[in-house]
Amino acid sequence: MNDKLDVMDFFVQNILPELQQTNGHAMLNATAIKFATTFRNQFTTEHLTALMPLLIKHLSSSSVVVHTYAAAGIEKVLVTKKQIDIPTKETKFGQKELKQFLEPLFTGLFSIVDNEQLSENEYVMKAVMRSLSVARDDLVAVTEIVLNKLTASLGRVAKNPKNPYFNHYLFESIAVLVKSVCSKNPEYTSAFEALLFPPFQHVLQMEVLEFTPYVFQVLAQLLEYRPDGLSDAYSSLFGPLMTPSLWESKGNVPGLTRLVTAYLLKGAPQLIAQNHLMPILGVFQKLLSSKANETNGFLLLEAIILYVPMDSLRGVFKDIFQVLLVRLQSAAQNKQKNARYFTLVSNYFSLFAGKYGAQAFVEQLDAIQQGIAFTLLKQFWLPPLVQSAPSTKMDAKINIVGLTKILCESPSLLERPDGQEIWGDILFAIVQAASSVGTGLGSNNEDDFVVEMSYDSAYSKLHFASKPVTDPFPEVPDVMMYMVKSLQTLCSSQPGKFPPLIKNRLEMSSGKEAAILQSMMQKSGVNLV
Amino acid sequence: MLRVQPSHPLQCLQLVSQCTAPQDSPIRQAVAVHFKNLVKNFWDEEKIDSVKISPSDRALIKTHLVDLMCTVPPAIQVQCSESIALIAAVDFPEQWDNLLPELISKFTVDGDLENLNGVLLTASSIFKRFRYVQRNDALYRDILYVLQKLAEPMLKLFQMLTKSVEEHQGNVQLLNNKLKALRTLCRIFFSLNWQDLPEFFEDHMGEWMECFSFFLKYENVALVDPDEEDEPTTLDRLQAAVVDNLNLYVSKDEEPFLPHLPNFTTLVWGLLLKTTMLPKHDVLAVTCIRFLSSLVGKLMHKSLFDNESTLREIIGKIVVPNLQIRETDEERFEDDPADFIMTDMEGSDSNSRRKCAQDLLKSMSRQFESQATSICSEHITTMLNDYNTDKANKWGSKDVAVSFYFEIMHVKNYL
Repeated sequence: MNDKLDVMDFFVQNILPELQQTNGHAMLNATAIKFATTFRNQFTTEHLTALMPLLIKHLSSSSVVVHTYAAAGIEKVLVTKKQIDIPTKETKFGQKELKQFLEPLFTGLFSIVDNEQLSENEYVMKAVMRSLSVARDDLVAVTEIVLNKLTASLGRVAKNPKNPYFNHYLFESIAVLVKSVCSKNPEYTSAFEALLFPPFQHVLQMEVLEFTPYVFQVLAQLLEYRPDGLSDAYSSLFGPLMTPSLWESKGNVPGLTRLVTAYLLKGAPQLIAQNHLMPILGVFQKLLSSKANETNGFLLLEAIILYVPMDSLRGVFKDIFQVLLVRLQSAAQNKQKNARYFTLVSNYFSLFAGKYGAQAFVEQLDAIQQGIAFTLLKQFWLPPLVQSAPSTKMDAKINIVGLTKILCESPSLLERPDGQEIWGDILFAIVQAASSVGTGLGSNNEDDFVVEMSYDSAYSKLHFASKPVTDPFPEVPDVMMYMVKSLQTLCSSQPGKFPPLIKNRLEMSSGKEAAILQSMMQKSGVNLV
Repeated sequence: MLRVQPSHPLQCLQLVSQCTAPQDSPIRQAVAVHFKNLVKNFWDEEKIDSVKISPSDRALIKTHLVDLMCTVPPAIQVQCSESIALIAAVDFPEQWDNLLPELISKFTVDGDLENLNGVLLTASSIFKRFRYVQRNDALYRDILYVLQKLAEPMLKLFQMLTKSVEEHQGNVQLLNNKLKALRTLCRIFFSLNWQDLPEFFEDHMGEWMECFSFFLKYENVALVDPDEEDEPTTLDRLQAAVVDNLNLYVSKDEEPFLPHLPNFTTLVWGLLLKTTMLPKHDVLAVTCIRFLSSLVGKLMHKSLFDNESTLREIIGKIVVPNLQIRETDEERFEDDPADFIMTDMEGSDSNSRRKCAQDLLKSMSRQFESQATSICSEHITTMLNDYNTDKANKWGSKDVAVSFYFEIMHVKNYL
């Protein structure tokens, strides 16, 4: 930025007069809007508040360039940060400032969206999305009107999807609306269902491939907000979702997976009663067979473990483990190429052990081959953890919980000849995982403030429909505390046995781990005997 | 497995060569296109192996195609040329060793210049693959192969053509053909120099630059149709190709080129001042402005511009006129808003005069911030005053004034 020039002065003298008139030359209007938008960071909240109605006025310009620039300008104003130099989510112009303009703003934006003479304008739809996101629940009263406008637009573009960016922002807009209304008023979900199911069913029936990935995501989002089980509409949709051809399309898989996990969350017993468990496991097996889909396969598996009652699963665990082991065997041929699979399997083992206990883990694997549990642990479970830190805090938590169970609840482990060695390695992996994430585990800030969301042709994730990270172990609020307390209980069961084991193993490396464990114990006020 | 009937492609070529009667010309054209499509679809066996062209057919085709191309009328020649390029993309150079010698054997200025142009265009389209790609051993091997055979005859041909343009001013059609050939040679120059400055070109830099220099100064009223507004002349196109080559050397900081730079800066500047605002000069003007832009942007060339009168001249004579809103801009604003928005807002329009003028101004105000700011401020004031005299009609002045403001504020992204 050239500091020899006074932008505000130039703006007031030359740009403002153009913004204030709508009968000037259109091209000059467009340039003036461009100017104001470009230098928006120079403006204060008061300036922006004065600017907003001017921009809104230009939404009704008959010139496409002018109303597009006005929409783009409004969108940018809504994401103008208080400070540009430091990372902050605070904006200069937020919900409070926007409130007074909502009516003319949406009237202006939708007059463009509704105009069938004009082609789909992604800048305008992006402004709709951003305005909805900033306005949040100020819109509850007009939700139905807005949603009807959006679904009407959806009906038009579904006939011939042309502009993928427009379509993306259209679905983001629907997702924002679902989110801002239903997160505060879950009872509105049935009203949303009534409005969204008909257009969504149309998309699914017509097989509008560009849209189905979005539809699955919004359906999942809506289902997750539902206060009570599955509605009839959702129930009757489940069967068709298991159609293999739907899962053939790569773009559908993440959204479909998400939707099926939402079904499991809200209505696992119902699905079991209707004999849907086997088809779901079939999908899991299919996803696992392809490297591109394996991550989704594990998401599905995670949901099965978390939400399906143990009784229904008893008979199928063996098969699940078998499938995982077969794939593990082939993945071991090329460890580098399959690094992700090892991590995913590690996480799954942790989840299983954390949920059902060390004993169940060992038993399940023993049923396949006697004594294989600890061999797997040594060869496949621990190495990815020791090699690199878990990629998210939740992964770290899951691993720590699962491994802690193995560490503290497996008497059979220490009976093995290599038991002490493995025990030490587990402890080492836990401490490492703990150190890599600090102590603030589980705090996942929701962030609505992603300015640019990308559309990609393979699969477009809807930012505003994204799912908050699930915590499979809500009963463990402080994972560090949990770990040292468990260790304490174990130690006090056989005083004098474990401290030397711990000391020897942790001092084998740099000694950093010993210090970390020490500080974890201090924080929790725990002493090992 | 399907096979092309043995010798079917050859029969096609025979038809092309023998159907010379005027009433057969549509048939001849159709067969030539059919042959090209055969080659396009089935020559590369790695892409498609459902249809086979036999090895003996392949050999015969490669033996005769260049000669055939040089005996047929222009419309057919285009098809032959494309066929050669398609085959070359697969076989050249390993499996088509005689292609380049054959093409080079047609390098003569005394014969039919239509043929020469056909041959050069063919060669040029084959070498385009040397541009805009990452270097690798196989690529360098191929470039080296081409250079060994082509570098010298190519320079000779360029010099001969230059000389003959210098000597014979007369026949316009002949002259146009020569300028066309020269332009294609410039494009080949560009392809061969894109990766690295080849040794031969370094050793003969002076000879090349002498010819380039000649054409940047060359003028000939006979070539100019005063009523033509849109189509560039063959000379305009040649000059743009020459400046492209200079630009390539500047962008790569080729040291052997540096001594020639002051001379060319003057020549390009002179050329740029002679261009009009008509669409026919768009490409040439844009290329010249790009050349200046890249020089101004480089600290090592700062001295070439470092005085106020030069800066004033560039801003006043190049930036101001090229930043003006033209009728085509207004038309796009009205009729193709999506395109207008894309180019205006997102700067994707790298080849428009406005965009190039903006880039030039941006480079200048980076390199010479205080001088450029004060010169531009004067222009901005003048343009704003101009607007105030007649707001309804002179809105364009204000629009350009704001554009100036954007550039001296170093605005990178609009909106």
